[in-house]
Amino acid sequence: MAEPAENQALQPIANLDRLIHEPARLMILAVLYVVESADFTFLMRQTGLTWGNLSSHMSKLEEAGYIEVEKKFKGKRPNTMLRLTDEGRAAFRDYRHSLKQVLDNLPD
Amino acid sequence: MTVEINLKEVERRAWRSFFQDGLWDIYLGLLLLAMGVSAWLSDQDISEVTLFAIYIPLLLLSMVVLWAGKRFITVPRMGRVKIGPKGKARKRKARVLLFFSVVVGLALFLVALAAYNHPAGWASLIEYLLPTVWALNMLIVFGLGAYFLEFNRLYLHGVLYALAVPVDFLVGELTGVRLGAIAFIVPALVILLVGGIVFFRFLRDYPLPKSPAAGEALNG
Repeated sequence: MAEPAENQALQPIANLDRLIHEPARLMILAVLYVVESADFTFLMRQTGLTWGNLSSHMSKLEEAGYIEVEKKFKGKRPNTMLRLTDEGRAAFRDYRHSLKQVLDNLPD
Repeated sequence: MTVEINLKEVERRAWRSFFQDGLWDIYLGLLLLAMGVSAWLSDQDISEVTLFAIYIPLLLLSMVVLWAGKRFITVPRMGRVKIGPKGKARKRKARVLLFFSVVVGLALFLVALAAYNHPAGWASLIEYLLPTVWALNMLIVFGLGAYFLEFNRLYLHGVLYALAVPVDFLVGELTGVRLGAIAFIVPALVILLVGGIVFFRFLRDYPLPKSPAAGEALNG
């Protein structure tokens, strides 16, 4: 775990959720936040991430409990849908709020 | 540095991806084409039963083209999404509009049917009223549909749909020659052309992704 910032004014930046504070994961969460659920291909198209990149970030988000994977079958075809958990939605909302505050408090 | 995440825009772009494939345009073009075919058939003096026996399957074919296109072309390229509350609200508004349009269309049809059994005076009033109500219905429904669904091409399609009956009527009044089926088929072909261009652009811009299944990817 990182040491607390010596300059306390920078602590809010240090406190940002590092799991979300990564551009690719932030994009994934932003898309999942505004839809009920989506599959890999949709997320890939919306974010522009490669399959491997997306898969890697999704695994981290799933491990953290921010997203859940719903595996179903449509007839004989597998259909995997991804959605934010309640924890993930709350974490994203908190992150947005924190980031906004951090940016609003930065000098011009 | 601009960091603000515009979630409204994220949601809007996710929603608009539904209309990027041109399939709804093709569907609307096929519907209008079916009306044109029906108009041509009715000029051929065939029975109403035969007319419906041809018209209904054409309508069903339009729906099959839309469904099959979405299922086998769009979804493999764009993926699947269950829309959030805003998208669901848009869909609800669109359903209300569609219901309104169907009710007006049905009323128009019944009035037209009744006019043929009424004295000439009433029939000629209907002759002027029908094109006006048709045009207004199409403009209002397509216009509101374009606005609520954020599907801008519907404005164009609405104008093309709206013109069909009034243009046929006006040309008939001015020249004595009714356009008949042509009044429907020409705008239908324009809509199909637009849909076709959008569809081919979609195929070019969104090739099938070369990737493992999502389940395999997440399981490592």
